[in-house]
Amino acid sequence: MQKREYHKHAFHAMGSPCTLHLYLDPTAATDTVIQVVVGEVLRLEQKFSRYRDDSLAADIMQAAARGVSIELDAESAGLLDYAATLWQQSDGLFDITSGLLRRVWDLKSGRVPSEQAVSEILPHIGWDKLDWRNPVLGFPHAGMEVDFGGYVKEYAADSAAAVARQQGVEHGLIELGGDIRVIGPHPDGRPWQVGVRHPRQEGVVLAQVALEQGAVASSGDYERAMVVDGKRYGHILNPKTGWPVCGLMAVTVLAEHCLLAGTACTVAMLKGEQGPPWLDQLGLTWMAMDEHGAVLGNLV
Amino acid sequence: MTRHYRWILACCVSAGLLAGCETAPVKAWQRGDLARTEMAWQPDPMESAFRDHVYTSKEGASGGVGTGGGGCGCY
Amino acid sequence: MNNNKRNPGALAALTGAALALPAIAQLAQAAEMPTKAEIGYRYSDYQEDDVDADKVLVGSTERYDIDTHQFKLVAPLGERTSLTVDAMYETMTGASAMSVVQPPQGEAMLIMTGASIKEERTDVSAELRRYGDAGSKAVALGYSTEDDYEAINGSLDMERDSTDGVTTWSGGLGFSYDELEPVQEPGINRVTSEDRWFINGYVARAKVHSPVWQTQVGLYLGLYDGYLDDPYRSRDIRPDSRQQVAISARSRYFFTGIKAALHADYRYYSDDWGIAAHTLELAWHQTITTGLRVSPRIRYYSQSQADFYVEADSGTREGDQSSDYRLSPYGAIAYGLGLGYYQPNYSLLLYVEQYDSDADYALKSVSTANPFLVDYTLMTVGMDYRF
Repeated sequence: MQKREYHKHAFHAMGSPCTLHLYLDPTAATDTVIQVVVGEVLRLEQKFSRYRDDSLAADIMQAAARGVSIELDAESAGLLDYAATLWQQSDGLFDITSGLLRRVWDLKSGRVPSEQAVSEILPHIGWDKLDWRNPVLGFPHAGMEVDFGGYVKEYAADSAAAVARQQGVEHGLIELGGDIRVIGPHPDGRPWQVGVRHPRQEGVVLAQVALEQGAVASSGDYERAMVVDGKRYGHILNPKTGWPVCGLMAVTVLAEHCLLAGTACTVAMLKGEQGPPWLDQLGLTWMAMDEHGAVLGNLV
Repeated sequence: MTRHYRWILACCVSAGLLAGCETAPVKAWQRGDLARTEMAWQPDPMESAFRDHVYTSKEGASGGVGTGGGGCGCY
Repeated sequence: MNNNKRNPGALAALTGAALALPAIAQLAQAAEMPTKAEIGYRYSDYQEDDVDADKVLVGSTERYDIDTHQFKLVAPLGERTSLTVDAMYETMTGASAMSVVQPPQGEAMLIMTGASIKEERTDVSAELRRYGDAGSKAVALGYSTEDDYEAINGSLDMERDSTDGVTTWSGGLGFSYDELEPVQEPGINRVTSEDRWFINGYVARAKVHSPVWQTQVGLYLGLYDGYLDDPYRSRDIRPDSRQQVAISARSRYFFTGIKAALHADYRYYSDDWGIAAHTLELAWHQTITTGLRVSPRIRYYSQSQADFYVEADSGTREGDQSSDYRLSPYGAIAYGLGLGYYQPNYSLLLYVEQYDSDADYALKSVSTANPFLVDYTLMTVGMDYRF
């Protein structure tokens, strides 16, 4: 067998810069492998995009708006089952019906919505208000929404890694907007070195993680936020109160797959100060920075 | 008779060991050290095979986990 | 740290839900299939210490010297199959014990084969292993031949990981069919052609306890049926079957701070010939610098005697009997040192071992030591190349 060559391929998908780091056989059709892996990410972007008329997400939105049922394919049904499990395990904080809050929380506008505007949305939010009987998703109340956007990017990293494996790639890493899934270590067995960024200081690395397998994902209020009258409003909204959460600046979680790492980050952010104990209860490896800038966690 | 007792005892002890007890799962990305070659059951299978061959032909006892069908004159 | 109660059930629920997604289930299959081809070579020089001249009544005092060449090839065949071929070629010179006799006065003495013999042994085997979603299965066939001996053997093996990857079950069944045609010498009445079957099986359970600790326990059963005597001994009559059982426990612990691995292996063996044996081996694999590793080890062995073991041969005794030292009560201590230099595409290896057996090393005290107990020195050099 010949030496594998390192290929780096940057592209843009799911609203984020993405990078593939792949070691490929010189005999392999390099462009084809990269196209197939990128194609998997684009497939999921199209399928779950809320901004395309021909997407599955659009069909679900229509059904939700009209208050009817829709039958789903195995992949989206699997993602809904996962959301249902996480909704339970997070005491209702991870809720894929909470996307409606974006109607009142426009972070680009720089305006904080009124208490009343927020509370008017809340009755239309709540996973438990849906009727999910795999594979049929029913919307008993019209005017709700289901959004895969909160975790499809993480799932896409796992799925793209699986596709890369099918293409014969054994050594590589997939990064989709800061969420990382390792396909396998460097060809000589060395782990990938992944830096965890400081949530406030651009370019400062808070910690370095060596990964041979698995995934690492981060979430923080640095991603999308607005500052109004000196108060910071992040993009992670509590589905129960309708307001941005506080307590943690950023969380990083290591797990076997990116879906778990990413959604665990989201739940930890939603739980705020209660996030770290929750991650410990799950037995995950994590680090976090609280709002005072203190670094917490068992990730050395 | 004592032979059979020893047999039964050995079987029971190993059945107990095989059943084991529960611990929290160690994740794939935590297994870097376990995957090191010196942590393998047999870090050098060729050397283990040769030493097993020597011990088997020079000692009264033989056999164990992973013992294949291999034959040898051994006299 | 914190006082939170662990809730692994939550993680299990989430992992279970995620594993229902095909992409994640596929990646969870951590098949440890070899991805590179590898060839290996080992040369071993095995030298037994000479027998004390005052213990030999008749014959040579020179025991076995064995030169061994081992070859190995591991090659991936397609995406999920690997082929392993092992070959071994040995040349032996030296004399072996024909008989232990008890002189009217003094200690038992040996009658050795007269001249130093020269023998060759060749052993070839091939294994085909198929890697599945959570484990592997293998089938192997082998052939072995010596001047006076021919054997074919085969085995089936399997390994299976649990869904959480914490435990691995493995098991195997093997057989061997051996044919002996002892070298004839004028004036000595030896059997001309005999055969025997050997069937064995094992089951083992390995478990990962922590990121630095794993253990394995196993049960082994073996059954011989057929001619089991030593045709070269003047009076050697053994049962025509032998049932073996062994339980084993192995532990591998890694000391992260000093980059060293501690191996502890124990085996308890018992058979229906009456032999019970304990084997304990400890090894320390110390990484000195990147790629350089030194591995001292010590091995202790002790066995009790077979029911029909006799301290000296007698032409008039009836029934099962043998004065073979391997059926006598004794113990042995071996010290070894390994040195390895490991690079991504090749490794260089050196091993030495000193083996001393003595009736005084046995766990239980032994009244009369067999005069033929073996001491040897073993030196192995080798290299592996991956491509």
